[in-house]
Amino acid sequence: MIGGVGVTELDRRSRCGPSMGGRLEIHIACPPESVDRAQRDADLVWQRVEAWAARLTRFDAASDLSRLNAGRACRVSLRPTLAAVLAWADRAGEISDGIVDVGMLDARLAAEAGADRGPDADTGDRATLEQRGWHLERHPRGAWLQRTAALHLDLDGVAKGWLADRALARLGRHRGAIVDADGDIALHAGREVEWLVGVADPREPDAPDLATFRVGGEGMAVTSGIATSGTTVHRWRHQDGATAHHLIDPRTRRPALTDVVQATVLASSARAAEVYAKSAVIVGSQEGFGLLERARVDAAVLLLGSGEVLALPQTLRWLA
Amino acid sequence: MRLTLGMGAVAAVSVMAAGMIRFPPAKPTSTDVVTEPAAPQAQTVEVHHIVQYLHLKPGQQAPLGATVIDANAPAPRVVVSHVAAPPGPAPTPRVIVKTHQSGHP
Repeated sequence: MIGGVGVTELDRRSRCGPSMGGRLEIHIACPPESVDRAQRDADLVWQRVEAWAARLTRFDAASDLSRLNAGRACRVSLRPTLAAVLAWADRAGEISDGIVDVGMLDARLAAEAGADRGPDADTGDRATLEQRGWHLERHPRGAWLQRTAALHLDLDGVAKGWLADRALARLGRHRGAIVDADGDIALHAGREVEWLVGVADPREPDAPDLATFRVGGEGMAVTSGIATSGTTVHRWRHQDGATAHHLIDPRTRRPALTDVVQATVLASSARAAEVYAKSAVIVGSQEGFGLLERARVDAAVLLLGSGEVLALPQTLRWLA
Repeated sequence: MRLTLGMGAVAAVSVMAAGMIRFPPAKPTSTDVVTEPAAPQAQTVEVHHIVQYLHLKPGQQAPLGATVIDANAPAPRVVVSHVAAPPGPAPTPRVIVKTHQSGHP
């Protein structure tokens, strides 16, 4: 039985395992007579996600992204999957006021290595927001990428949110479905389905969840996305004692100086939730809550360095 | 200079006016500041805005127990939510997925 409000007895079929350097989970809610079809769909979608991810990863030299980053040409034709994700990355930059920038790979690698590649952190470099160094022109079979030769791309969570949404769209015929792309979650709840999604506390592995979102269960179909971003997982301590993390502020090209340890956002899609969660971490709680309110996200929970857990008011509606 | 008072005046205002909510990380049924009694109905949500700062004039001393914060610091957001437990046995959440930071070890 999925959820607690159903008039129909529903079963669940799942496919879970390691993927994309993390974990991929697919869950489908279905009536008992459809469990075989649900399992087949879960397996098929799993294979599609793996295929898409193989083109988008920077950890495989044969991927479309790695070959793009290795090349020096300023005008490159992209295949459809990479073109679609970069089109979303373009939009992500717009809706985040330039804070989410997939052109920060070199700055991230420099932070990981302990090298200083950014401008003066006190003055920042606002020009980078307007001069990100790439432009996309769609064509029927993909897109042309116009870029500066020195530009290297890191799709990271932007791709995972996109993958989760794209995969969920293939499961639309089922009563309910979840695609969890390593923490970035796209989910659909039909009228009789209710999903509960926990928000992990990054401070202790076995700590109670910071919150639990309830999606569905109100007699109407809902499609949403939930994503979390933060500074505690990809974090490095260098020989001089300095620490750095992977969320680069494009205004300084350095790890963001932020009071937000982790941000979780519920929005209309996983890819949008991922962009807004990441933005809230990078800009900090003061500016971040303003950004989240302007974006009209459904809910947001922020864990601060002080230990406070803050949420937007409308979050209460979604808490289990 | 603003002065934070631990037991300041209590004023209930709307959540929207306050802008955001702070809720306890573990059990959402307790608060560490002054609250009003919970309403009797189930799933009642009460929100209290605690006004706990004022401005000191030059030469004034902070009262005993007060916490002095910098004048340039952002105003404290001290909205506290109190979620009453529903009647009857507590439901068992069936969480099957968790959102978390990606790439966890």
